[in-house]
Amino acid sequence: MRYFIIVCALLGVLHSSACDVCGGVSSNSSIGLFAATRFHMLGIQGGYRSFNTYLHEIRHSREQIFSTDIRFRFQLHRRIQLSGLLPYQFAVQQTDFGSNKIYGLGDLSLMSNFIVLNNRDTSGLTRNFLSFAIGVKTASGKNTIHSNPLKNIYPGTGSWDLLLLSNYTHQFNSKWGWQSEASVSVKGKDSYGYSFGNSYQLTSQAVLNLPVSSYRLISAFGFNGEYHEAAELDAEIPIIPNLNRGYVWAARAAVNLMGTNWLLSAYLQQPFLQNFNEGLTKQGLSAGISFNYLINK
Amino acid sequence: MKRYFFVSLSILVLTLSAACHKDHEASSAEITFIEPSLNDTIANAAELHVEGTISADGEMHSYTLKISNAANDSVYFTKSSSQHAESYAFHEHWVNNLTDTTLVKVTVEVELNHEGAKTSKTVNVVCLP
Repeated sequence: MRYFIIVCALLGVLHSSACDVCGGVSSNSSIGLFAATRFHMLGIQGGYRSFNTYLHEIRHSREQIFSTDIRFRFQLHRRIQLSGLLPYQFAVQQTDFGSNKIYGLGDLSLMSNFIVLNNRDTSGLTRNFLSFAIGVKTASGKNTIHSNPLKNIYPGTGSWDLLLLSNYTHQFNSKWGWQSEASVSVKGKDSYGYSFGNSYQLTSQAVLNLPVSSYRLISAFGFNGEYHEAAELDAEIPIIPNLNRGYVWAARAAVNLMGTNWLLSAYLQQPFLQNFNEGLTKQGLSAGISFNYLINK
Repeated sequence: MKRYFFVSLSILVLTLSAACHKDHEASSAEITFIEPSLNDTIANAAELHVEGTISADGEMHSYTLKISNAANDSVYFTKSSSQHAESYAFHEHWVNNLTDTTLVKVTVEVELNHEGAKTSKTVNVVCLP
């Protein structure tokens, strides 16, 4: 049981969005708090993100993105995990004159996570955990040409992207831990020569693990920072300088309830400092809820 | 029971009244065209880019953006918003598909308040065949 509690120190949320800058931003892929567990996992997550777009400092449109992701993680070896995610997205953009809705399958992502450090003390408690992951986001989702003003809210980007990620956890005692994750997404070009800019992400959070009845309640509080480079077009026609370029810092809170073979998770993320598209786009509240079925290896 | 009903009804009426924000209604508004400029020439198949802002001294009720023939008022493009706001930013495109040289007027009309007070601004452009 103790081992079970300890490995839960990291919440395993693999979240990703095919759209890199949906009226603002979305995060890189993430392995999250459950990297140190040895379950096979099969899950579903519902997500919500919101953005406001401004024109001459007046709100011109509001974008809301709802997603449902099917995800899995397969423990190939005690040091190798294979995970995947297939999103379905529904996005709505509301302007003064009405609304536009774009929906469909997003881009399939696959990732391999290699555990390079998993130190345990004599009681079996994982003290230090370090892993590196490499993955790919495919161009399988619904996408459109860059000249379409709704491109950013399409579920797919049309490009193959390389994902690189590291995940480190330190467990102070049986209750408190700290988890940090850094990732880079190297963006490819779509069939029209357009590329979203590379993106960098850093997440760091304190983790509190408590028993509740026969379950475990795992809470996490921290921050998430992202930087997106400007989009590029491999053609003679230039695009707007600094398009989709910017950063966001957000406060993040997550709560997870774990049973013997299931995990129920929810998170909220609220930006507190950001500058995208030279201030034209602002990210709002993000939230998600997920259920994972855990299969003992 | 009857007393609760009337109390609830009163609260509902008060809430709805407050929602109207009648005391914050606009009495005047400033419409600014960033594009197009007066007498701009739009080539055939080119886009007429209409962009600008509307700012008021209170909450406006709606606005309409219309592109029409200056001579006979034939409407080529129109969009209306019923969003209540103290400011709007508009940004629309219309492709010039006219077969004769035509003086076209771009009009933004704002309904300021419940009394139906309106203000508008027009910019004329020349569309080429």
